Amino acid sequence: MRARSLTLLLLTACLGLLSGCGGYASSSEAFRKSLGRGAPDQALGGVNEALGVDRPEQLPSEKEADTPLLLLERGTILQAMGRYADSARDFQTADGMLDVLDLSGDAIGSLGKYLFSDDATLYKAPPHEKLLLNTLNMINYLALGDASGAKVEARRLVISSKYLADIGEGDARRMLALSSYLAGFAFEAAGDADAAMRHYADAHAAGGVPTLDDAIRALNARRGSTDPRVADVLAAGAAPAEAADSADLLVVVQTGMAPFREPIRVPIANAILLTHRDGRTRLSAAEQRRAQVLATKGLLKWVNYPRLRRVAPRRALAAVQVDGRALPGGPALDVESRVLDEFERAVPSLVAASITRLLARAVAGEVSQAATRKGSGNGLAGLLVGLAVEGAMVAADTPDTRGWVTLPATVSVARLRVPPGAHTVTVVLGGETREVQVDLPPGGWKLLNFSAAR
Amino acid sequence: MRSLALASPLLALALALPGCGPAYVRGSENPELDEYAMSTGLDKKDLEKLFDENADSLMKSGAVRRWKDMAREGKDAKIAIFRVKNETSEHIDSQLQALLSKFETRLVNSGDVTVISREQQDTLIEELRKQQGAAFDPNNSAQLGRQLGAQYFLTGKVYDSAEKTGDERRTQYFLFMQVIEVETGVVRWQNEANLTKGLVN
Repeated sequence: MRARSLTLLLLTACLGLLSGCGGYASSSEAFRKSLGRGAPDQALGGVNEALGVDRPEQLPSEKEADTPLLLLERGTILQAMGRYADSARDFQTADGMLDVLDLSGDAIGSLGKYLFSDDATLYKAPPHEKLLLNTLNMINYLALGDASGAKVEARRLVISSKYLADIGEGDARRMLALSSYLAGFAFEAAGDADAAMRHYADAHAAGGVPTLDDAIRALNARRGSTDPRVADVLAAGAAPAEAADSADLLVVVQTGMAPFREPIRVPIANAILLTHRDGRTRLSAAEQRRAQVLATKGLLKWVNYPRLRRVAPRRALAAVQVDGRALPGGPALDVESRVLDEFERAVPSLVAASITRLLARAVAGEVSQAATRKGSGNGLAGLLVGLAVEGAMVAADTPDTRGWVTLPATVSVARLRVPPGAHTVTVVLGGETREVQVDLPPGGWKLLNFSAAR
Repeated sequence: MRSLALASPLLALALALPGCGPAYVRGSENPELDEYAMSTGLDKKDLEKLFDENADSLMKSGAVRRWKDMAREGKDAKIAIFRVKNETSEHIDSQLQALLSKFETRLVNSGDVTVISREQQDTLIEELRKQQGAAFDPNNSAQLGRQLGAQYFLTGKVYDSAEKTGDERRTQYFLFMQVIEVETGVVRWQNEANLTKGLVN
């Protein structure tokens, strides 16, 4: 009897330890909304609170399961505020942690996932987040004028993309056009023309971005660099005319908010259909039978799993100008579509995991009920204990809504070689205009990032 | 008994979850602190290995014998120390600065050669950048060396071969260092040191 009491006590204790209040969707809501309405300073306060620190210069002394994710969020917010060095530190720290997590076993989390929730596992970033981490950090280093630091991020990006291809996530490479373009810009800025051309050729192979063709032709004309993969670009047009002392101006504009995960409940019958909608079987025939039996008894009615919620865009990029003249450019990366694609592929597995948990909970309820009935000889007590255990586990089932919620929906680029000297760069976003003064040295370069107004 | 069997792993789980709090320690009180690796970047032990290998090689080289000969003849060999280019996938620039500072210390204290202050070099480089604009190439070390009045300059590059698989991340570092005669461009000393860092299961 004492052992059974201990079992129930420990089950309750585990529930308390493993269950979050409302999951990441709830804990990230405040800073996600603040950034979405163009108030990054408020968002920063919210994410610092979630990290358990007072100031943005601080790193949390204790690493929690969500710490790397929260550092990604804070890095994005700091970047929007123009605090590029602090943002780079957060991205770099998160990158190191995610590397370790990629290689970590998670026995406790796996047990929690089986019994309670996907939310109980260590956070492993999906492919698009891994690639965007290095891409956004390249923007930090380039905005700081540190081409060497940006080159390091470019190399890390190449390692990550090779790793993703090796583990069967080669599809993620489709989003590499912008990343490779920025890598090319970084190597060109550092004076390494051949490496720059290789990255531009990677960008071209991944589908290209606005202004890439001109960048390829200009680099070829200036330094003679080439790559067999850009032969078609070089053959299709001449390099734009430019003075020898002209400076390279690249403007990056991040707009909108990427979709975020939120919990949803669906009837069990619909959920079972979802698990094999792509033609792959994820639940065994026995599991499916058991789920249907329990559903018939009225014991299993609903399944919790996360769905993606799109964020309506508040501002559209209207124009990027330098000294009143429009810069060529346009959307270079559709983050929203990438997040949606990746999530859609993951839905059958997520729903299957939820159903497996429901079955585990039902078994735990039945075991507790039988044990209590046998020990006390009281059928009603057994039923109540069984329902209590199962009910507590249902309450603790928080769908895994973790994901990098402060990512932009779209990243646009505009680029032009301009005469050295002072210039006014204007970005028109919806009804809002942002203006920045820049002073470019002869032959110099500058990257300007705009991500505060979403 | 079955309940106890169920309780045991849960007890282990409950005990495992609340971790002990971190505490600050001194390396002098905990010598092992410098022994284990905490990342695939470069730490004190790595820098010491790279420095020792390169410094030993340099001190035994013909370049240093030449400087000693010059000193005996009353001539003063001047050397400028230029940055080591980071061509790796790790942010190790500050560690490379530390490596150069160790070289600077060793050369200054050897008395074999006059070392031009690195702060003075930075000022000159900035001045050249302003004067020459687009024509300025920070990679043209010979030009910089002449401007500084140096006869030799010490420089280097560090590359890596980094890979990640499902259960391992490995970074192999290759540090190349050189002493180059400014006037002729002849390489008077060169050495390679390497080391490997990893994250394994």
